[in-house]
This record gives sequence, structure tokens and C-alpha cells, in this order.
Amino acid sequence: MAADFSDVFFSSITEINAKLRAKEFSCVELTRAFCDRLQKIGPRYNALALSLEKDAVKQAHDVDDELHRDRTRGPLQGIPFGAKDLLAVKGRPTTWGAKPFANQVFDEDAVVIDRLKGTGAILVGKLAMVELAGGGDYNIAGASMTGPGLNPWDTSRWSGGSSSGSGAAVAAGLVTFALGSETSGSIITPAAYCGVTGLRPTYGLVSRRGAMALSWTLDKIGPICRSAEDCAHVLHVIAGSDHEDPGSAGRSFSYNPQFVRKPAETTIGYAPVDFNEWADPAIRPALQEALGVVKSLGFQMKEVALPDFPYGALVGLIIAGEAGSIFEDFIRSGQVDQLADPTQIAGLKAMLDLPSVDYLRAMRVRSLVQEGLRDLFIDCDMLLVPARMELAPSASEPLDGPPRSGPAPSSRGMSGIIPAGNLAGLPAISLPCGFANGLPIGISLVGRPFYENQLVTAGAAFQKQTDWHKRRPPITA
Amino acid sequence: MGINRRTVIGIGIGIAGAVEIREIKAEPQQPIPAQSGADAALQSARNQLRGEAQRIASVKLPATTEPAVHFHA
Repeated sequence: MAADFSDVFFSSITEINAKLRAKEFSCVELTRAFCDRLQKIGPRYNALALSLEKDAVKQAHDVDDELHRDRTRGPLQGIPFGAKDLLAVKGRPTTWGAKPFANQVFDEDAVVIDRLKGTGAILVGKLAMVELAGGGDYNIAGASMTGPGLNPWDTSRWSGGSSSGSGAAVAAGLVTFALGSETSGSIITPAAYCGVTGLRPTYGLVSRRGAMALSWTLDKIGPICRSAEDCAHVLHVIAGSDHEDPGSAGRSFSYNPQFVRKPAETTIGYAPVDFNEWADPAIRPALQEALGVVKSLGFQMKEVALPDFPYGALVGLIIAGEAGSIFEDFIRSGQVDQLADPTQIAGLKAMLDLPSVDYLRAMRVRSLVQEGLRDLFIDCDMLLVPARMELAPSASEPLDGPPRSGPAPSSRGMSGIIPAGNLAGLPAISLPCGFANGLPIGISLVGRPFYENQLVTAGAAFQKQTDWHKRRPPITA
Repeated sequence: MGINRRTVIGIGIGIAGAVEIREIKAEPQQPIPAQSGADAALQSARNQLRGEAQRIASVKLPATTEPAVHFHA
């Protein structure tokens, strides 16, 4: 009788790996089950860019052979995963989510893909994304050659971007984990909107070689998973030095919760105004509850606020300066006009007019932002913020939406932490923390550079007290 | 990139962003007769970058002793 995978689709990395080692099912059976599901259900959310079933089954046979010989390679061995379609896979199309690149093929795997395959993880498919990771400033969910990323919790809503397919595929149990990338918000946002756990690593911790470049000084690659501990397992494999990525920090990552200070010795900074005024009223009760859970874990809490900088403008100009150079030939060739979103097209074209002094000034102000955030971490070890201030927006309306209604918040608080954290290269984790109107809500911890161990440990502690990360969206077979 | 900058402004930073957009639109511009949609979008994108540059220019930089402009976390 064929194995029943209905629970396995939503199991953690370590649970599935244990079942494989116990021979409850073979890696080939597991891989075929996930490939079938990804191909059948993925298109409902416009989450699938390319199935890699044939390659995946071949690799799964190899894993089965290894397991028969009791050769184990760690918790990712035999685990099906998906990769955002900006990561190169040798000999297969890598579209960057954009029609003009539909037939692009590279002759090497991206470093992160290579590292995961090396531990026996099974790449079952490329996942959809916003075209060119949204660098041209997109304004519609449909800014992708695969159509708008739809949210498994409510398909009238957006799954977030630019790692749209990665967030949706993990939420819907189409892969056990996925790789996403973040320049400014592209892991944290889909993780929050889709109710999964996303980890944005410190800038430089994970090699970008083989990934589409959007901004050399902002791009990061990271995992989107079901739990904080799953993120740690993936990060352990993909982190590490790469002398061919000039941004590489030459560091590695190991998950060692025993080396993290106890909550009573750890201070978390937060801004009440984020939870009481900035957040959409619909999500405030869940955020307040999450704040209560964090406090109950015994952390020291301290009220803080971001220093005053034009974070959104800084990210915008730095991306414009770098993406304008990266895509200059593409823009000048006129191929840019084949993109799906007119806002992106215009945004990319306008980048070519950016004076270099404006870009350089932004980079110099950025160093002040780094200093300001460094000062913030003198008195606290982590920051706690709403991952997003709102629920997933409609997939059919412009993303800039109507102006905010109601009274202006009384202070800045930590609003702006997504661009601020990305400017400073800080790591962050988004954790599911509740629901409103049937849609997930996320809370985020932000840490000092290279303090992922602390973020994951705190995230795991939060997830021991809650079960939001175990909820499943309504999916009919 | 996570979400468009105007969304970051409009939702993430909220009120400040609405002010920012108004400032951009308030800039003196040459009248552009019968612009196509694409031309108008391009002009809007240029204005947005110009507005962002103006906001960044308002941040006072220290007398420069920076050895280089580079980035690491």
C-alpha cells in the first residue's frame, strides 16, 4: 500500500529525515509525492516556475542507496526543497521571474544549491518570484511571468514578494523548505503573509554566487521553513565562506542553543507604538499576545526607537545605483519593455539617470545608519517588531493602496526596520504569531550581525509556547 | 526587494511616505504636453528618485575622513 504523506507534507526537516532513516518510506516515494503535489497544487498559487521531477527522482535513488548502506549526511539528507527562480540550476532554465529571461540557462549550480545537494537535500522545483526581484519598484502582484503570487490562506490575497513562490510553497506543504532572497523585505514579507518562518541572514554569511544580482551590497539568500529550528538546519548548510563572492564575510553558522545566554540575561528592545498605533488595528490583538508570550519567556524588555533616517529613500537609491548598473544593457536594449509591470519598466529606466553623487551620498549616509543601529544594540541584544504592519494585501489591487487612514502614530517607533535592518546587513527571523480575518500574522526578531544563533534560539523558544507555525491552510486535494 | 518602495512608504512608514509623495509631486516641473502613459510613468519614477535624493541630502554628513565607501555588516 502506498504511504500516506498527508502529514509528512507538513512535517519538520528532522521528523522527515528520521522517517527516512527508519525506512518508513523511501526517498524516491517521498520525492515523487512532493513532486506530484508541487505540480498539482503549485499552479493554484502561481508558485511553481519549473518542476525538476526527473532530476529529483534520480537524486532520490542515490539517497536511498546511501541510506541502505547506513551512510547518513545530516538532517537534510533526502529532504525535498524548492529554490527561488533567481538561483541558477545547471542546464535548466533560470528565468529570474521575467519573460525576457525565459530561456536563460546557466552551466553551473548556484553555490547554495550545490551545498544543499551535497548534503543530500532534493531539489524538486524552481519557485516563482517577482520579476527581477522587484528591483524596479513594482506596484502590482502580477509583476511576474508566472502571474501574481497567490496566498494559500486566501487566494484573493498576495503571497508577498519577491520570494512569492517560496513563501506559498512552504505554507501549502509543497516543499519542506525553500530558498528565498532578500534585498529589502523579500524573505520577511512572504514569510509573514504566508504564515511560515523566514530567516534573513546577516549580509555576507551566505554566498550569492549563481544568484541574480540586484544590489551587490544588499542581496542576501536565506531559508523559508516551517520552524526556526528548520531554518537553522538549512542555514548551517548554506552559510560559509566563498572567495568568489566579494561580499562573503568568511563566516559559517552552527546552531548551538546551549551557547546562547538565558532569557533573563537577554534584553529585547521593542516600541509599544508599533504594536498599538502603527500596526493595522485588525492585527494588534495577535501582536499583543505574541508580545506577552515573549515576555513570559523571561526576557528583559526595553523600550527603544529607531534613529531618524530616511531608510526607504536610502534603500531606493542604493538599489537604483546598483541595479541600474547591473541591468544597464538590458534596459538600453529595450528588452526591459517586455516586463509585466509598467512601474518596474519605468523604475528601471529611470535608474540610468541617477547621478553617481546621489548614490555615493546614500552609501555614506548608510554608514551613519549602521552606527546608529550599532548604538541601539548597546543596550539590547535583539529587537522585536511586527514582521509587517498589515495583513497580506489583495492580489488584484495596486500594492501601494490608499493612504493610511486614522490618526498619525505618535512616534516613529521601529517602523522602517525592514529597510533599516537591510541597510545595516542585520539578520532577522519572521515567526507566525496569529491570524486575523483568516490570514497569518508575523512577528520578527532582528539581531546584531552574525547573531543568527540567538535569533533561532529565541524563535524556537517562542514556537515551543505557540502552535501558529503548525497551522495548515485550507487545501483541497 | 520585498515590496515596492511606495508600499514600504505607504504601509510600512505610512504617514511620512504620504508626505514624501506630496513633496515629490510639488516639485516644479516643465509642462509635458500629451504624455503617453509610459512617459508619465518614467517621469514619475525619475521624480521619485529625485525626491529620495533630496531627503538623503538633508542628512548632515560629518567632515569626510572616510577611507573608502564600502559595505560590510
